[in-house]
Amino acid sequence: MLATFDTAYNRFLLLAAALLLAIAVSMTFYQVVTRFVLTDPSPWSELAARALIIWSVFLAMAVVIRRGDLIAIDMVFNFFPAIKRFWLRCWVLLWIFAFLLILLYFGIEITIRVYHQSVSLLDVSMSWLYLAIPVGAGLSLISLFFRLLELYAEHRKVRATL
Amino acid sequence: MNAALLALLIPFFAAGIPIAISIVMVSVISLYFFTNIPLVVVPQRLFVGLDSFPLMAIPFFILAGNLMSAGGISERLVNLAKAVVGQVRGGLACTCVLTCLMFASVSGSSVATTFAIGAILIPAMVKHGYPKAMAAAIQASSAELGVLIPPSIPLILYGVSTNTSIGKLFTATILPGMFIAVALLLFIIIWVRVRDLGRNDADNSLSFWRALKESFGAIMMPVIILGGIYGGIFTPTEASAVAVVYALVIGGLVYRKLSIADLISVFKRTAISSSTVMLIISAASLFSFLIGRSELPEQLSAFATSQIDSQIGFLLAINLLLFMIGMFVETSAAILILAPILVPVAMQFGVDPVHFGIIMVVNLALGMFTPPLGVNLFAACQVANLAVEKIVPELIPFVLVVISCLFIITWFPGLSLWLPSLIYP
Repeated sequence: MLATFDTAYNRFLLLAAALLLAIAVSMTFYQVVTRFVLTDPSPWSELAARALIIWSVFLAMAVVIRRGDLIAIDMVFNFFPAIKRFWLRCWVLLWIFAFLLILLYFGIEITIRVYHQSVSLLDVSMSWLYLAIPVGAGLSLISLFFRLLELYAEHRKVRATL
Repeated sequence: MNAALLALLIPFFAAGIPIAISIVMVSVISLYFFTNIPLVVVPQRLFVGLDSFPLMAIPFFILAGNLMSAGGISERLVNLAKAVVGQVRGGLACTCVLTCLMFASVSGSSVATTFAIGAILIPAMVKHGYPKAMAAAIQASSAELGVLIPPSIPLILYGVSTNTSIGKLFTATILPGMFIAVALLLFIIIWVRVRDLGRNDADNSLSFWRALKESFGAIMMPVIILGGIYGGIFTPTEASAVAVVYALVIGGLVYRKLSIADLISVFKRTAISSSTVMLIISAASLFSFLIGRSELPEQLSAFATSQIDSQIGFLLAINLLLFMIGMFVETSAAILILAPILVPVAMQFGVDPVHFGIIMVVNLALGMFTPPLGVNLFAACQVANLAVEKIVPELIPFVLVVISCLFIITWFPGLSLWLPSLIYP
């Protein structure tokens, strides 16, 4: 049950991030087309593409954290026996946890604060853009929990072989 | 607190805490303990760091490269390179360098280059009698061309973080990149004779014209991208979106190798890898906000000018520093953190920021295939199914070749600056 949710959750987020990326590319290409073919550059496509990329990055962050794909210098793990690595990984997860909490808490604060600013040229509130940060952080906290479960399951397997 | 800020990053990186998280948490610690800036600046800077049109070229170029690989461009480029240099002794190893050179012009990353080309050429070289470790070493060192031939993600980052023209940087890197490629080719031709290898490399290569015809669509991509940027037709970011559409057309319609399922998986893979890079960029923008508020660049500049009195002395010191940093730290993080600090110092010594960018990127590219932490090295070993320690003895001569090139590139600014001076008078 939990595993099914985990798979579906990540598949959905990744698909959403990929879709946003695809729309952002199309918009930027559209901008080139409007400038050359229609000789009337579209003013909003660049802004919208930027917003989509930001959303894509923070949605994909949850999947990246779930997979343990954040770029790290992980040589240090080689110096520890397999059985101890779990605790080292937990220590790393603890820092990620702190990072996500800060993003969530202050992300909400800034989203509220910029509510009355609107994106130039587009008639939308800046909050929609900033919202990507607390939403991404919140979604990532769920991923982090599943990552921990997976690491613990691996740890138990390692322990069982000893 | 200035130097403490930089120094604090080291234990975080070394403890295996992801780079983006380390940078943000170190910034949070210094904001909280050493300043009275409210922490709401954290998400604000993370956002501003990503909200930039030039940076969007990064996910798009990653996407274009992935699409091109999925569209079957790698085999075609290998065939073309083989038709050009396959006849000489050691031709297969030379093919590897030449293919990487061509592939680099559709892909901005050297890891992508290693996977795409290495998967074909490492097994081929092993089959033709090259020791596995040597084949992997050739691949790992040729792949550094990935970041030296435009489009180049590290150069985009350098341009964005130091306000240098990306178009100029892209032109400046062409000759140094070619120069390293030629040096590697010459070295390989000599080295295979010394090692008595590569006698049967010319087996089953295609005729030049057939290979050219089959790969024509792919090799036109750099012409379109670079021509468009230099001709002032579009910005690098627009060029990257055009490259994506072009790769879709070539891979999907002309080569007919991209199915809908392939497309979805390419977009997903790109979303993941661009998110990992963009998170580092975002984090680095918070960090450079702090650096900007401190007096670190001025202090460093004062220190450097008091210790070193010549431009060459400064450049040698910088090369040594960057070489050591490149061995350990991931390239984009190194550029985003160091470029804004080092460029003002370099300008004090009369170094052109474009030339300095090329020096930095060549140096960090060198770090990509030097142990202990080289992404190309890991990728090549993964493709070759080889332990990283095994590759090191075979790698040393190639590292020395690139170091010699680096010295020449450092010593002769004209190599980097001549081409941009023609195009951007």
